[in-house]
Amino acid sequence: MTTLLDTPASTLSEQNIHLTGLRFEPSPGTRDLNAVSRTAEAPAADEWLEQLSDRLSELAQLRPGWDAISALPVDPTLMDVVFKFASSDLILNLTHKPQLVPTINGGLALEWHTESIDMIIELSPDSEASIYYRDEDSDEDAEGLLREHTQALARAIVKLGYRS
Amino acid sequence: MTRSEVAPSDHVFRRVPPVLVVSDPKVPGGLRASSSAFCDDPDGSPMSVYAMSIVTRLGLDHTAVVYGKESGWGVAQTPVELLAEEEQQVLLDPVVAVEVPHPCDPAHGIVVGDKQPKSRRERIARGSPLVHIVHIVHIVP
Repeated sequence: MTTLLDTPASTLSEQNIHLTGLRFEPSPGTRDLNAVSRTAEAPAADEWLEQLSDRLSELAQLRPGWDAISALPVDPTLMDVVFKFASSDLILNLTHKPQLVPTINGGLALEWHTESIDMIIELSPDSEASIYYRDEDSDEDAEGLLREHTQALARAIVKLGYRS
Repeated sequence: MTRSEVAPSDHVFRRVPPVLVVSDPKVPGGLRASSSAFCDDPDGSPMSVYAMSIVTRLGLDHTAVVYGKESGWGVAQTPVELLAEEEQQVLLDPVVAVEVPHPCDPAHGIVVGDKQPKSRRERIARGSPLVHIVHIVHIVP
């Protein structure tokens, strides 16, 4: 099984992403997301990777109670997972990069908020990866386990690549 | 102990840590609190807020909510009506006799209800504009 984090975006397709948590098996597709995403000008990869590293370093320093109440520090095992995903070809080729946000239970969320798309992929230390997706243009939304909403994820990725 | 309900016409203030401020082009000013800022505590205690009407009655304003906080902390303002639409009940829960008092302690309240659905927290977050940020916040994705 190939991990989502290691697979070139060009092998992904809107119709053929099969995820189990953050793992997936690519299969030949009808829409080349890499080609789609390159229709818009993406920020330099180097710049994004530097921002990503800085942000993860910042989040790694959060102490218990960082919300002034009882929030837990980010689970260190999630840092590596998120770095690999956020530095993968898939994300590097998106016009819109995610914002990294801690959750109070020690998890990490990747959030995209654009004029038309809201998407949150949340990783938690004690439960499966989940997703929230809303498309303002089509009035479509989806919420639940990531592996159960791969079509929504694929549609969002296409739109995040198209938009400038 | 019976807690009184905050009136539907009121608003509540919620403290937002700097790491939970996100950019969103759909909201005025382009910044808002992440939906992760609108959760109950990890131990199950309900989300804390401050009732705007009482903050005002104390002669204070929204800036007092982040009294003593460092640069980057924000204050989100949420209509109680919106919380009610999202099946949340806002109850007054004044903080008394604590070791380190906060100026807004008498206005403290709790928001009771299921906050698990991300869609619900997203709607609350989008309906809760940031009305104050301590100094300057620097957003890094």
